[in-house]
Amino acid sequence: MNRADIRAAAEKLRRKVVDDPAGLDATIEDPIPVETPTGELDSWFVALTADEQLLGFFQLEPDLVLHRYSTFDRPPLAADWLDRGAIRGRARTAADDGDRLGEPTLTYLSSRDRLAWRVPIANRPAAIYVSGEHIEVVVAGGA
Amino acid sequence: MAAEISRPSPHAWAELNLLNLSRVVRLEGARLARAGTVVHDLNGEPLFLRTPIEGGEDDAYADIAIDPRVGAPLLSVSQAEWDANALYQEAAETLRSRRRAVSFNDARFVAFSFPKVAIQFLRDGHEVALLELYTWRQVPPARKRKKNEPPGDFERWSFLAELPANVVTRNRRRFTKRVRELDKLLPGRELLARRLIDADRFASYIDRIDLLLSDTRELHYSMSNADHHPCYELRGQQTSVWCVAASVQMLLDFYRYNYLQTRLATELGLGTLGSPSGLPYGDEQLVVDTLEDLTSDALNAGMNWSPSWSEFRTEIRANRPLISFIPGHSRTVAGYTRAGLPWISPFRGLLVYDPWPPNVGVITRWENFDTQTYRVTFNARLTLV
Repeated sequence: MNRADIRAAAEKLRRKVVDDPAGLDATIEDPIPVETPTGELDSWFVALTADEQLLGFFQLEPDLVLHRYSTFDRPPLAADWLDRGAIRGRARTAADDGDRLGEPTLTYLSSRDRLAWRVPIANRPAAIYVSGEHIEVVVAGGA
Repeated sequence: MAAEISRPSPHAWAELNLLNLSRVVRLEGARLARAGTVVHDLNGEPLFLRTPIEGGEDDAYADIAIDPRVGAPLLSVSQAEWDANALYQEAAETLRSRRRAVSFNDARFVAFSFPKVAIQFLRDGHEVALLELYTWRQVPPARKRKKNEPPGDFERWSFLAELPANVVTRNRRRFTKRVRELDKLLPGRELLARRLIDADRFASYIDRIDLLLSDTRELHYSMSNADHHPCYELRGQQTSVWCVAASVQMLLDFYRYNYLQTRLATELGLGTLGSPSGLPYGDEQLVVDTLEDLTSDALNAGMNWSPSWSEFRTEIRANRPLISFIPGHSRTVAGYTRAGLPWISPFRGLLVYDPWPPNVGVITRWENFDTQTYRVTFNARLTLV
């Protein structure tokens, strides 16, 4: 299965479950894998954007069955969720001086419905979780 | 000798278009054949019509009801070739090749163990052989079964004769109801004449697909479906661990009990904005207590450790939101949809107001009920009206 298959599945689902005009006209972005805390594929995050805003997203099971289609009341900037550089930049604001940040991966906190980007801190056992504008530093073994 | 044929019903054509429209099967651009093969019940009565679907991506055929006692106008759609005459010839050849050749002057297709089909060869109206399709094994004569003993794997029995009386009544009622529903979809005469299966064109002829395809409801101000304006609001959780507080807030807001999330967090023992904590496992009763205490018992709250689809549906139809705990998270449910056709696994979705991400939240329309794990639900009923 390749990205084109996932996008095609999302397009098919859009015709089936999306009924708001903005969502129907939105751009379907490249699918992003949602990883479990142990690094396995949990699901696919497929964003719908328009005018640089994230209108909503599909979360698809690995076999491309719909898990959910969710929309924002007040759409955030798409970059907050899709641009790894921007996400890393936001994580930087919560990092300590001298922290070396790794590559962000999309994962979740506690529940697969609580999506967050995990930005590992290379020099200590901790990571920064970025969920839109929300940032949280989680130290290994901590809360 | 040719297979006994008959014209398929327009209702079956409508059902096939609905299935194609809802993308349950891929039949776009195909046509229902002009005539199908009559398949009889073992007692001799015509039971259903096996009809090829031509011109699609793959070979396919539909089993279309003749007798209303089967309960629905369309019984099944199969992805396989159906060539009745070729099968007849193969069966007859098999029969002729046997050591003791059997003569016959008639043959018909018979559902000897519904939905399994065989070809019955007859001489002067009496059976001389009954060969199961494709395997061409001789189906043994009927045997006497004990009361309530089900038929074996390879045994003849009459579907119509063995239907209990209450099932006959129920099936007839279902069949008639469905035919009436489908009658409302049949003005697409041009398509019907061409027997075409075409999603867009079929949809353009009708405006009642939603009614047939889905059972949907969202929270309303009242029990009247006609009066609708969004009356349920999303609240983002104010800390990464206050999903329960946000969920309680959404539910109480619906009943016009407006509390700050910080206040609710105090009631639920979730700390403060500066030092928040989540609701520990085992403290779920606190949700019930909070809903009742903060409404002075105007709400009678309940907790259910075995959430089911029917619970969600019943509560929403009664105009009551629910709090839904899933592993590691809490959200509220404000609607449901069940889309599909009765004999196909339907899509069941919930309208979920999810407080994550913090301070934002999302509205999920729809969450696939069959891909989620529901741990606990909380409902609340007004006691003072």
